[in-house]
Amino acid sequence: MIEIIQNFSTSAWWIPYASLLANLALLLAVLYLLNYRGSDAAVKTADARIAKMFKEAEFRGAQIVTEATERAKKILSEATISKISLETRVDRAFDDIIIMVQSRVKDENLAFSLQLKKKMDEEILLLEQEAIKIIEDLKEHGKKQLGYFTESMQTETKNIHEELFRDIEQNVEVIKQDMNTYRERQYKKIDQNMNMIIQATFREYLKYILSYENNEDIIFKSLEKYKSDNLEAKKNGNQ
Amino acid sequence: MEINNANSHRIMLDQIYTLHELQIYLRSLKTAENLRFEQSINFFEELRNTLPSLLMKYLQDYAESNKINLQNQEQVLKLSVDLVNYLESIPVVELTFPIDLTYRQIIKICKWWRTNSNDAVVVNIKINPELLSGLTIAFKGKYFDYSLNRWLEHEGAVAIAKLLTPT
Repeated sequence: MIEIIQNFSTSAWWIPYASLLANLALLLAVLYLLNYRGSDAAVKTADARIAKMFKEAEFRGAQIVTEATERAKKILSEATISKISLETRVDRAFDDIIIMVQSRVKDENLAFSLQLKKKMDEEILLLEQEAIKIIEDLKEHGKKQLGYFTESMQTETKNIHEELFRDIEQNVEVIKQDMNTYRERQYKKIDQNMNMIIQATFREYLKYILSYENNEDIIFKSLEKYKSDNLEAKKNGNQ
Repeated sequence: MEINNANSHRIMLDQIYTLHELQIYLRSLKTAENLRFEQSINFFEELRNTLPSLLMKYLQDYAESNKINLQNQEQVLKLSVDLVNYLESIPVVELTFPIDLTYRQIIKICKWWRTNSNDAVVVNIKINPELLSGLTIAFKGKYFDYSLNRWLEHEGAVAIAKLLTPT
């Protein structure tokens, strides 16, 4: 509402319209008087009166217009002054408000930061306590886990050692068996080789010592052996 | 004319001891069989030229004792066929020796076999020095090894192995 009033007082747009309305009212009045002319005298009187009234009206209208214009000027001037004053005051008020708001904000900030700091200190303290507790728990848990791990490692190491020794024993046994087998095989080979050497030597020696007569003798002995093995057996079988 | 059975020719084995000799006789007799196709020739002369002298002598003796006319081609050829049949039926003893033998030794061995087995056999001699001594016998699908080589591989090897075994 104040704003509307301020706008109305500061603006001059309504003055020409008011002047126009006043002129229009006067014109209508003249026309009305012209239509109701009576007798010539009456008409003359009436005309004089109308003219007088018209003049008065015109004068009055001009006066009103002048007054309205003056007043409008005054109002406009006052409005302008008011506007400037108002703007100044509004600016000042705004400045005051801004300063106040800034001050309040500053205070609030300070308070908030203090509160925040306090809160943060509390939270930090809580967190520190929590962290200390967690660390303690972790230490405890770590100790326990380390204990379990050490125990498990010891058991595992023991098992590995046992398994390793078992494997070693088995391998040693296998190696012993392999060595025995190898030794026996080598002995056998040596025996075979010696056998072959002796046989070869014996053959060469026999070739050397066996004479023609010896051979004939051996042939007939062999035939006798054949006879005893086969021919006599055959005869006995036939009998 | 009547020709005796095949065994009547056994006396002929006094002339045949080896497979080689037997083959010569068989080839001669088979050659003689072909003479019948040559009608124009003097059959007896041709027969004498074709057959080994001992075989011819045997034929003459046999013909004489069995009344066979050697001038008669038919009779001679029949005798020849008989002889071939007989000779082809003689079993062969395959003997392998480490050294060459003399013919005298071969005859001795063959005679020994005939005496001791009552089989009219001929011998087929082979040489294999690997035997060292003794002999191997292959007869009627059987094989016998009486060589020193075999002894060395079996009994001898056992003996040597025993010898090598530490007590």
